[in-house]
Amino acid sequence: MNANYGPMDFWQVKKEGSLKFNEALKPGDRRYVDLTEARGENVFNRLLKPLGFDKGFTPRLIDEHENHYILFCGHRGCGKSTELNRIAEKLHRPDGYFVVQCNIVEDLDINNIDYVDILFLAAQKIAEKLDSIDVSINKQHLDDLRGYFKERIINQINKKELAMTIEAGLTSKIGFDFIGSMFAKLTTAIKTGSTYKEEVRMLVKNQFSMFKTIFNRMLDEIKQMLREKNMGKSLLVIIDGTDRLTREDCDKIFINHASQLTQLETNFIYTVPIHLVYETIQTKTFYEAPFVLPNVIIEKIKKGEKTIGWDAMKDLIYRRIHPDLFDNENTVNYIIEMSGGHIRELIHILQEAFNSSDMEKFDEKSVKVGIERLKADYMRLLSSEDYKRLVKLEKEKDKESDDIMKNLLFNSVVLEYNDYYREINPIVKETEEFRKYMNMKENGRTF
Amino acid sequence: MDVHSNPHQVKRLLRVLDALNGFELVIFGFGSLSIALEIQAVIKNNCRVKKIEVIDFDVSGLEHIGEFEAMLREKADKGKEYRVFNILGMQRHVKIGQASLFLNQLNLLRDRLANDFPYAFFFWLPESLVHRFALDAPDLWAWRNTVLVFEDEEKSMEPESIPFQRLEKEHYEEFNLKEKQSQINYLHDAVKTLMNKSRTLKRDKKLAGFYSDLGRLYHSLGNFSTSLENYQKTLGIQGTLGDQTGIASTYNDVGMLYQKFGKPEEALQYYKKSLEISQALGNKASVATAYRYMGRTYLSLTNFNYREALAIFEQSLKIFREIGDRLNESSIIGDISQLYYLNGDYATAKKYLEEDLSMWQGTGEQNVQGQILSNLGTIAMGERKFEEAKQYFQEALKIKKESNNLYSQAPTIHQLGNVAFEERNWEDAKLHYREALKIFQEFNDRNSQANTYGQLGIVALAETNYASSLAYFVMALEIFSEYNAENYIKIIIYNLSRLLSQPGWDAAGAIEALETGEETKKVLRLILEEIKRRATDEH
Repeated sequence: MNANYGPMDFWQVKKEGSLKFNEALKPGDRRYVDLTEARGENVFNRLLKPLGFDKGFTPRLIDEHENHYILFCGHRGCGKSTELNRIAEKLHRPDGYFVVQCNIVEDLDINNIDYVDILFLAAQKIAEKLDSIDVSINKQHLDDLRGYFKERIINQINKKELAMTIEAGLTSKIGFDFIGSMFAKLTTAIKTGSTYKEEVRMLVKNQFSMFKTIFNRMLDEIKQMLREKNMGKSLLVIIDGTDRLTREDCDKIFINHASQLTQLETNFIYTVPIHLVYETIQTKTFYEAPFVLPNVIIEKIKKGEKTIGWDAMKDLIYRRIHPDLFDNENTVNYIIEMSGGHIRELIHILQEAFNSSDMEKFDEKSVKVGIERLKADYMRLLSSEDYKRLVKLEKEKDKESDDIMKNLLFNSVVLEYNDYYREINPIVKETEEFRKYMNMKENGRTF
Repeated sequence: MDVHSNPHQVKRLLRVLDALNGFELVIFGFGSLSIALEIQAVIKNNCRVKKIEVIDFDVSGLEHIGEFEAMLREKADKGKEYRVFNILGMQRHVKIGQASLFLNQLNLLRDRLANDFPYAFFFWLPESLVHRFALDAPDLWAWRNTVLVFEDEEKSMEPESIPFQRLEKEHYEEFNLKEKQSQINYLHDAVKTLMNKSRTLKRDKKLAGFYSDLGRLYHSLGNFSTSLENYQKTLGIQGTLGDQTGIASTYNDVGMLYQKFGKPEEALQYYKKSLEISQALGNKASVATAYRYMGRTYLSLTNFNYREALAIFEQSLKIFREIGDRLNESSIIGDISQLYYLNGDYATAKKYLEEDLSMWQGTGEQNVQGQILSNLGTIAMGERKFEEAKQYFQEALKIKKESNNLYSQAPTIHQLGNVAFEERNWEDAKLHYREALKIFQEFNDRNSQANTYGQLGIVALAETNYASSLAYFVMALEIFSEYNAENYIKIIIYNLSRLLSQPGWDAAGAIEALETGEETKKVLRLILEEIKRRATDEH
């Protein structure tokens, strides 16, 4: 009997959230499994090295004067936010970074996001976090910032009531409390009033170099203070939720405004949708090589040899559902095989099996019926062009990232593992349609 | 594979509803508006039974996702119970060959709602547009709980053709034995035909209806286990269809079956289950009906609580009056009157019936009037006013004959036999009883047959025609035993002991000469021995 096993009662499985994937798990959650090794060797190396940490999350050499802008991507539901929570926790240490996390989905108007909004939010969160631990700031910098906003923003705003709202209540605030409140008010103004939104944004954009200078001076002051107080060698801001942006918004912010985003002098990790990884020409000038969180490797490139990933996935399943609720281990192995090492896909299979089960058990029949259901979802999604591209991938193992492939990756039809190794989602591979296209090719017929 | 058939999808839908917990996202595809409405009704009924509020939310007029979120949050602020949001009118936002802005925005809303909006979202789209979710709201799609697609059944199902003759009558009581058997044959053939068709909601519903009819027919033929088996099949299908109304009605049927077979406690359990569902669904007529059946069952309990039974009948009466169901109202008044009658309050019992009768006079509802008159006769019997009773019964019979309803005449004819019996007019009594018996036999009403056999036995006993009295009692005893009708069995055994203790005839020889099973003879011998033992003790 393992204390970490999930519920043994069928209905409790659902009640206790074992079939949920909405929330990013926090370290300490029973359902949390360390998948670092299962995702491939030294998987976090490329993320940690520029930040001066080794793969064991120990700080080695942190360059206080260099700033890194890291794009963090992965398939939807492969565990990005869960891993980010863990990374934030491990990097946040006196001999490492003072880490500040923000989530744009929670705090911004998700329908209309501009890079300025993200910067405001970052500023707000930094200030709030510092204020919460009662840190003070050089009065001169504070006055500079206050002056800048008073003159350049508040006084420029035509809408009187908005200016008053922003100004109201700020005079009594001091230190980081003031900065936090001010940015919070700006963020709120941007979020709620669509007419003011553009105005405030334009004011900042038109004088970005001024904003940047004052903001960077403040960042510099903060970093220095963090070091003095032994709270961190530098500052790291993690922006989550940006991977949810539409392709259009995402390109607008991360490509068109890459230069503005990378002019702020501290370290940033942004989550981005996986397609951005393939826009290397546009991104490599500004950002580190994008970090892709790979799926769990459950099989070593078709050698049939089980890897550490298999056991990790099994652990993940049992932490959500007690082993006794499966009819036998073959069923568990089948689920893992069909998930392709993709966490959300795995939970989808479990969910569908739960919905289809006659015996209140996760048995072979319910899993098969569940997968049958998921196949229908993929078949709904895929066009003949997509199938043809899949056949090409299967036959030629090519690594091209054309538009069709980008979309297939975007929708988890093709899964990506460590070192950009690609495989067709096992569920898609099982569909009659895919088989049909495979056979056509084999028979030498044209489509 | 059956996995994608509509009934299978409904089964999965019910599992989803059973397991709702926190933020849920289900995408519904429908083949036609009619199937969408049908499935939405299934959702609403099942949620009502589970006390989950279902809120329809039409987004066709909304432009900005912010409006949507604000409206959702406003609704969610009121009360804390779990709720399901049916998001309708989505198709307005999906244009062919163009990415849907609304879907795109929903994509991002999901993240916000998932954190602090622990309710279920059911998005409805025509089946042909479901893939647009995947394309325009890939994030929302990726986090879906499941997708449920319901095909249009109007197109897929060929017109129903079951090549057999079916008898259409409102109540199975109106079928005579031959008709019942022919109806059963029809239903078995129809079930076989349907079983060979592919599963659709329509087919399953029909099948449930056929099983339910079979249950009722076997019930009326006195075949308890086959009837129950068919009701269980009905319940099984109704369960997979999520047909709560049907389930409530079948529970009533099962209750009546147990009631008829002398298991009032079990019957009450089923009526209560039926009542709970009907109350949750707000189905007043079904609530009143369940109350009424419960009340009747209370009357058959050995030590029924008079007040409790009355309260239940009054509940039922109130509802039937509310919804203006005059026929059922009258029927309940009959039950209440019977309750007063059983409690010895003949005056009140009579008052209820007389008032009710005056309401029906001149309406042409002859069946109802005949029934009320017959009940008035029964009360007069209780008051031992035999001449008055006879008049009521004769009047009732006249009306019933006019309305050409043969089966309903039998109980009144039996009652006329009772009047003649009380007047010690054995010849008339026998004539009436035999006439009633013929009808009961024709319609295979075995309980009533047994009752009449019992009366004929008592007449024969009074006439000192012992051998034939014994034969009648035995026939009554055997039928009552089939139905576990304890109270009636006790009455027959009492009369049997009276018969067997008559001096001057060879009771033991008569028992051995009976054309009946060894079991019955054994019982009779035991009674005889007991009588002899007591007689010796008294000496």
